[in-house]
Amino acid sequence: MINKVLCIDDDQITLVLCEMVIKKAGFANEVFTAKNGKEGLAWFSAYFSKNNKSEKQDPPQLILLDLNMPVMNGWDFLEDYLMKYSDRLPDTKVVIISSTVNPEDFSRANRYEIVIDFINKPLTTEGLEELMQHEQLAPYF
Amino acid sequence: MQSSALQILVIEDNPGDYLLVNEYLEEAFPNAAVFHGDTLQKGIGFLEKEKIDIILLDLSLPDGMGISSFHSINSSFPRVPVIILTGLGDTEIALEILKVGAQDFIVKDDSNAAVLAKSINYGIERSKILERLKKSEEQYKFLFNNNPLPICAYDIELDKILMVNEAAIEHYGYSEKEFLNMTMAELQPYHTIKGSPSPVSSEKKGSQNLILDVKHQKKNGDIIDIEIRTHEILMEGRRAYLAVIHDVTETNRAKEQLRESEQMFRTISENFPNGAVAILNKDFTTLYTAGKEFHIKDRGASHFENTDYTSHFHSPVKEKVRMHLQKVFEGENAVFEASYEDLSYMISAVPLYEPWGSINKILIASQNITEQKRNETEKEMLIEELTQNNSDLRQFSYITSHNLRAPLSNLLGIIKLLDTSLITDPMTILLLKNFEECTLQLNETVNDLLNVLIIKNNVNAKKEPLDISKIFERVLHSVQTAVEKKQATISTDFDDASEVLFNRTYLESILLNLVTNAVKYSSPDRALEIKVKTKKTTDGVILYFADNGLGIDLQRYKDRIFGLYQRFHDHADSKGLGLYIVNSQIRVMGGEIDVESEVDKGTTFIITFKN
Repeated sequence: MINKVLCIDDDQITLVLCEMVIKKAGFANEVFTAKNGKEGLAWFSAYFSKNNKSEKQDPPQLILLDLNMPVMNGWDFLEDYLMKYSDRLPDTKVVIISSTVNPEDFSRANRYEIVIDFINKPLTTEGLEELMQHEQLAPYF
Repeated sequence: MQSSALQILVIEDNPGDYLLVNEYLEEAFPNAAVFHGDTLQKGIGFLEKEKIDIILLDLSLPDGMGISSFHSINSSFPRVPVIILTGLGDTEIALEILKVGAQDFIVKDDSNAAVLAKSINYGIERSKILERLKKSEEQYKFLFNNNPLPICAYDIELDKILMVNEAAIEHYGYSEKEFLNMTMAELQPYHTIKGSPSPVSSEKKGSQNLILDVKHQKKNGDIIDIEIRTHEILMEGRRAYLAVIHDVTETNRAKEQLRESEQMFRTISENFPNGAVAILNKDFTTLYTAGKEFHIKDRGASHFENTDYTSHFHSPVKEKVRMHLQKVFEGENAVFEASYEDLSYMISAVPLYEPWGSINKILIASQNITEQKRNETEKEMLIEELTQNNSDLRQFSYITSHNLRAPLSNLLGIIKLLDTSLITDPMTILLLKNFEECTLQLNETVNDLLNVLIIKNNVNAKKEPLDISKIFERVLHSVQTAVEKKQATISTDFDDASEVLFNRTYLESILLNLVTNAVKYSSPDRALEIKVKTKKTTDGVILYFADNGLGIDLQRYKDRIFGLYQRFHDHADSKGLGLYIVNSQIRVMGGEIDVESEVDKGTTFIITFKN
């Protein structure tokens, strides 16, 4: 089982459902949430400042990232994250979870090595079970 | 000088007379050689041997009398002048002989050295003049007869031809005899027509030289254009014209051709549509210009001719035109646009090479392209607008789809997580069941619409070589239950072409749609049969997909069969999307689909895959 997952999505219901599905499928122990890209970055910023100060904590192994979000969207988050944090967290991968139909989003997702999958909403237990088979995540299960 | 070389022959039988004459001669011409013949025969003997300058001939000789003696000498030696020696009683005969050619006569008993000398000198001089005259006449005749140009002489009053030369005979084909029986007027074609003007009658009397342009007819009927130059002469006392004839038929023909080609050139240039042509020399002066339309309104060719071509444009167009034309003088062709006020012109210019290779002139053709320009600009604006609209609409559709799908996916997520086993109220359970059904239906509709949208915008979907047989197999497998329920027989023949270049997902979707359609719209009266086969063509593959189902009334629906939301059968599952999607997927890959159908017989879809 994955220890920590960070869900970034602006839709509160989606976040609730995500957490429920993850728990139900036994996908991860802990689910953290952020309401947009900026909050997502803030989460990492806080994570590193805490880590420097006191007790060591595991980073999330997976980020479930929505694309369409206010303030800072998924792509902008990804660019910033890659610049600031990804080097320090080599084991953290990204799965995009979106309702988008824009073909550009699909082809763009393919260009990032860190993005290991693209799931069309809604996130279901079946979807997560399939994701568990993914070669980069399989070792956790 | 002449007297020293003088050789005189005296033919005289009377020795006394000879002595006297010889005495006179010695006195008058001391250096002269005097030959004496006492008979005509002896005299002729001297004439044959010696170069005799003058003969003194007695009329009464033993072998010749009077005028016959003169003739027998003159016929053999016409150039030697003869002076008759005569007695007092013979002067009448002597006068007669003078008429036929003797130079003079001397009465022997009434003469002296001075008279003789004078007569001899005159005789020799006269004969020389006569000789020259004869020569010049001969030369003249020679010139006339051997002139390469046809010449004839004709009588002015009678209009009779008096003389023709060889060239005229050869050129016209008439013999000399025929010519001499003709008038000048008869040489003209249609001369029989009364009142046709003859060159003679049209002349102004008294003028010496005339140039006439007339038509003549040869003996063989050919009509020739001629130019006659006449010169008035006197012939045997009558006024006559000497006419030198130039055949100008060829010249006229060449002139006519030149005129025609010039006319043609003018027609072309003056009618040059929508613009004008111009020839410029090195300093851009317009040497010639013509056309249907000049770039300055209400101005004709004369406004531009002999002016600087570029001066008829405003700066900065003027400088641009200059720059382009300068390059043409350097040997380049130029095509450029130039505007004048609100008009646009397309100007093409080419260098005109001199035979020795330099460029002194250039040819310009300008065409009014204002209308085209306007259309082009409008078109460009329209395209830009449409592109923008299209892009906006696409973005709009993506956002709308996304915003529609986001709550829908939440609903689906909730339904998945909803555990109804804990609910006891049957009414609530029923409502939840309906809620789930509605949600799933909504999801399906949205997904269908999105499929359409994605295909439309996905022109770059990946093409790969696909094994039709394998893909068809997979599609059949996915709808196995439905196919089995219908007890369908499916036969395939992919021998002719087993591979197509296409998008995998689309081909699967197309075949799935066709199979499910065949199943859905099969006839209740007979078992379903599906026949699928391929055929190779020069530039691709054709796939035939035939069933024996309900068929479609093509007369009514042909135009709508591949349209969006078109339903032709009352079937619960029918949404009117299947064939629309099939058509879109084929078209976006550059293929074509056609359909043949007969109601209650079956339907055949014909799909062309382009390689």
